Amino acid sequence: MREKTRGPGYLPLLSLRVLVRRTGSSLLLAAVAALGVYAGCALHSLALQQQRAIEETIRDTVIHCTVTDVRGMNADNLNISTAYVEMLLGRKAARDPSLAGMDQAVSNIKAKVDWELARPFGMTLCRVLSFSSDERLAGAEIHLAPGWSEEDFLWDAMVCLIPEGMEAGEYVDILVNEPDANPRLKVVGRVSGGPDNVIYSPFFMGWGDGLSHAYSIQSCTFDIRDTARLEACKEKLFSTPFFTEPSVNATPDGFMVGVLVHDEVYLKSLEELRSNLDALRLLQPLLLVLMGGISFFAGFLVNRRRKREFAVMRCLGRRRRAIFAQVLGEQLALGLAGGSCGPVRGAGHGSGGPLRRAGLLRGGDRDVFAGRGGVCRSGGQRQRDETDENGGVRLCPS
Amino acid sequence: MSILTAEQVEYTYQTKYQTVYALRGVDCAFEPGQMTAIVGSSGSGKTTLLSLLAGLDVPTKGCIKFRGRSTAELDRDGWRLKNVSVIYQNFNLFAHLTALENAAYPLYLQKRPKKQAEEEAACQLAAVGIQPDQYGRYPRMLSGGEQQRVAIARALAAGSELILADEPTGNLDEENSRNIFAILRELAHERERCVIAVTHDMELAQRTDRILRIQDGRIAEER
Repeated sequence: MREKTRGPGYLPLLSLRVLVRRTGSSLLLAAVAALGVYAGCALHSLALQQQRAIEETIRDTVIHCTVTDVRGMNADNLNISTAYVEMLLGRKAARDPSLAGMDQAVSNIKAKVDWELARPFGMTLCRVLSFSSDERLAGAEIHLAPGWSEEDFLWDAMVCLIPEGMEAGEYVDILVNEPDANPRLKVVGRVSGGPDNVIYSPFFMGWGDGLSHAYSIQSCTFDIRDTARLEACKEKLFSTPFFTEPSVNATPDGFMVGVLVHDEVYLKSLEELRSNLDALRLLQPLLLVLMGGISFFAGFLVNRRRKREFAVMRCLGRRRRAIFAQVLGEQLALGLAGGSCGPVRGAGHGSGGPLRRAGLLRGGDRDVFAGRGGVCRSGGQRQRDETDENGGVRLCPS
Repeated sequence: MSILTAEQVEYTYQTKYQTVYALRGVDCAFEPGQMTAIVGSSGSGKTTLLSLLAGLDVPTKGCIKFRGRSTAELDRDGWRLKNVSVIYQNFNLFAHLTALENAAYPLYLQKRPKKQAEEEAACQLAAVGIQPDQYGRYPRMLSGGEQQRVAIARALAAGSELILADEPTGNLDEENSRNIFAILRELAHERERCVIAVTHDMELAQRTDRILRIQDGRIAEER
């Protein structure tokens, strides 16, 4: 009487042993599986990087805004301010009491902006003062970039110190409503321990009659944390009577302050990142289908050569179902073996190079694809001496 | 007492251009302990008859009966597993299994324990003249004669009552052919198996107990 075992018997184990013996085809199928899983993991990794880049962009971006037409001053104030500037340029330390009107005008505007912007939205309004004549700098620590000294702070040097937000090497633009006369100040150092939100620089106004010149400050910083906040902020800004649609060259009306938020590049970056993420999310199921198809085709090609083997099995009395189960089991084993290798390589990859070359990902060679965020913090060391014509968010150099 | 009978067996199949009448009313019976040779020219229907006898297909008309039951009514996979072994001209061994594993394969199919299956397969291999040092060899490392012996050992290991051989010596030299036929004959006589061999070789056919000559799908002569 023959003894029979219950269960699958030795054949499944034998099938696995045969897989090892059938090295070539097994390696091929395992490699296909590994490739599929690798590609999937790389794609997933890339998607995670894009997601992280979006989060970092939102977190780290400092959006520049432009405060235009800082007015609220009458002709007297302008006269005073001209005298004030002239005095500063002459490096007169003592203040003329007649300058109080100018100070008051600037303070009023600053108070308004502070009230509307600084507290609810984190805006910083910069006031232009003299570096050498400002008594409030007494006791402040001054950190100048190498090669610069206090003596260099003359009007024609166009350099400035700032308390925060920017780094040495960056620029601050001052608008004076003369198309070719807008001076550009280079940040050459920082101060600490002094008053906040003040740019220390020789003040420059056009050397004409001075009366017709409204003057503005560009490149104030404007921190945001997320796009929703930015949109809410903008909406609030533009709906407030004190603010108007931004225009650097707006006609002075004596009462309004325009705020231009330089978020175009920032929003474009976010849009690109989100578009990339959408593309990747679309690619994932496509890849799944594609790799499934390739795996199936590879399995088909390999197993088609085993027709005779299957026929012999049938002759020996093996059922179709059992043969199918064996083939399925083999494919599964190879898929698992190969697939388990895929994540090892794929998880850390995903530069997105081929996808970018194929036009599926946007954003060129920006660092977003290395997962460090595509939009660098304003004032970052990597952006020294680089200006952004949009006046705001700049892209990291690759 | 016949173990296997063919009753008015007809088999037709359709090609792209014509209907082929492979068998046209074959009547024959086979008994255990007897070796039968089926001879005939190419295309006469020998292999078709063998396939029907092996339960690999069912007749278009008529029936094949095993111990009085039509194979069309049987679970043919299970029936083949227990009762039929087929030996082929090109051996049809599994290329990635050793001689021992090939011989033991039907026993694996019957879910016999590995050790028991391989012990029994080793006995059958020894019975057909395969040396123990060849048990671990793959088919490509064996000669044609040795491969056919392994195929016969596989048929023996299955314990089948019916052993059907389709041109078993077609790829072998004269000496090996004689040896293989001797083994098959011995199987029939000493182990009471019903052996049916299709062959072209009339000299070998003469060594069997019975010869059926098929011509144009009919049994033209029986000796």
